[in-house]
Amino acid sequence: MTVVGELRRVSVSLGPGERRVAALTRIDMQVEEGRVLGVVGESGAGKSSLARSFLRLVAPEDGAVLFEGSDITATPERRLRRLRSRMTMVFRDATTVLDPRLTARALIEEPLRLHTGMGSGERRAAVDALAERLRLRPAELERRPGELGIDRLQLVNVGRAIVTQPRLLVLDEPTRDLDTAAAADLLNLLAELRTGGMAIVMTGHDIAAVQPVADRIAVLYLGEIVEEGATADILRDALHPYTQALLSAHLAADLTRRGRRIRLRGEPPTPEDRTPGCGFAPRCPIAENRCRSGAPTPNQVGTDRRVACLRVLEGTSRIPLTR
Amino acid sequence: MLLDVQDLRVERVADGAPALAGVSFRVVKGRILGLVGEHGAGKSLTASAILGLLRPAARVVGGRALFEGQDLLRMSDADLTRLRGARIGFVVQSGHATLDPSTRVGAQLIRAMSIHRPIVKAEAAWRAETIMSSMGIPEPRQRMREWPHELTPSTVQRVVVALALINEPQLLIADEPTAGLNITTQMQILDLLHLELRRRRIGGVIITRDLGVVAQYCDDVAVMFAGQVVEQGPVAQVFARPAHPFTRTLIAIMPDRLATGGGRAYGGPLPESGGGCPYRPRCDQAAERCATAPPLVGAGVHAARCHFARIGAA
Repeated sequence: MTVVGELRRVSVSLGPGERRVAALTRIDMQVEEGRVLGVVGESGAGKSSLARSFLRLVAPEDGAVLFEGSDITATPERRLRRLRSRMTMVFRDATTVLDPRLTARALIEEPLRLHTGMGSGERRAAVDALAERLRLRPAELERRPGELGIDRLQLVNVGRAIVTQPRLLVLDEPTRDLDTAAAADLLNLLAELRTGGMAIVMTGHDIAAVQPVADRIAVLYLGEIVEEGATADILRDALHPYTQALLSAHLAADLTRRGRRIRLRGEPPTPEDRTPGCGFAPRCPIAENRCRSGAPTPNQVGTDRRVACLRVLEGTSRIPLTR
Repeated sequence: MLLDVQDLRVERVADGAPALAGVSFRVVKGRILGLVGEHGAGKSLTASAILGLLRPAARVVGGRALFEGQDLLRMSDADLTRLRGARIGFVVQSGHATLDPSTRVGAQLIRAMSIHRPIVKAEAAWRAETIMSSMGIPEPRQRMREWPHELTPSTVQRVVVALALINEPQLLIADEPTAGLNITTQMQILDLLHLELRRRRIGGVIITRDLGVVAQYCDDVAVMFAGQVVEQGPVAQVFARPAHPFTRTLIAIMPDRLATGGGRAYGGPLPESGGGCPYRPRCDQAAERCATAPPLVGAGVHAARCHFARIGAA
């Protein structure tokens, strides 16, 4: 399987001068063609920084970013631009990222105009074909962002990103503002694109947002990957205490699970609150003294999973559900 | 019966277009109803209509909303003002809009009490502190001295819920009380809200787009689509045997049920013109007779508005 996007020990810092804080710490991650990687984390965990890192939209402080096997860590923006039609991004909040003066058609057509030599007739046909696939009606193509509901607008946002048929598609919380039905439609579309061989990275606030299409899931907490593995494995047997808590916070249709969950104290921290030791220790229900001094690094567990928790290696990281 | 909404009809003032086309549901004392539906289905509008907060964009054109036997829709503004915030608590979608930016948090909680009845200030302060702490706000005494802009989004929402509960209402209407917050925080707030409603035997209406909230916290459910309640009943029955195709879809696409790759469309536009079943453009069962208004099928507590509904059938 060909690796399309890759981060190697990438660290990213954000903010001005003295108030610079670590947004991502030593992230190792890759996405292959025809695969979907789901990145899950609460606000401040570093989801957006990670999404942007794949496309070199942020410059890492340390580590390397690779696209289709070539190192683009130090590639100047002028040369990166040539790659921008093959690695694209769906930014968060379609209501503000789309130019309000352009029609949906012009917005979707724009990348073709910038990156390809297509003539206007050809571009028009390409947009029409894509719109049909997105189930955007012809009348909707002639409307501007202000005249479209958020569900429809997000389709335009995604349409822009896939019209050039990229090899790598990164979506930052694409289903956040959508109704359940529109979110399911979008996930179906991503599944289709995956079948077509696209490599996809999508972020989400909770596991539910990425679970239906993600082949692998990475859980972020305070800029570090606390657990990463195949979706089925994580859903069946989450090993990191934070992953377990996130999973138990799923408000599932299952009435028998009512009220049984892991309750975390406090709120998701910001990088400024980072304490020594394991970043999750202050909220972890099973933290021990050693968790507050030694920071765990992601350890390989079994053949296909990485978990950053001291207790995992001893097999004592599972938390019983309480009512 | 705590709240009995019957055939509530609302239209937009600008063009007279119907926004709510006969909404009916009931809230029993001590039980929690989940009012669920997509953006634009009329959930918030229903709450606003009941609370007399529609103006100026829309107006009630029919129906009744009986709260302990009194029709809220025909009540004077003065009488409604006495009820709101006292016997009926209300949590709005964006908490920041509820709080007065120029009054400290504690003073707002105290004012919410003293507006409705004479109360000694020390007692009011003690009550405010207690309710904040029961909503999971650490160091409530310190928070009371702070201004709304100094609070985190989650604390704002906790304060807004505390404000709605502080006068021990009989009924609490919460409109997407945790929308936009982190999932672990959402769960904390919903857990606490749920606990308070149960402990005080308060009847609740939780408005949400998330069927998971209904599954986990509500006793009854009313599913709204395009300004109508299309199905309602006890949560256990509706989840076990959903009778309306929209409810079935909502359950089928919950993340723990969804199997993707089927390529079928779940979302989509509403019919442009009135008449008939509004769900038919999205319904895979739609037939000729769906061009006529569907009847309310069902007896007793579980009912659905669909030509093909079979209540109780597996």
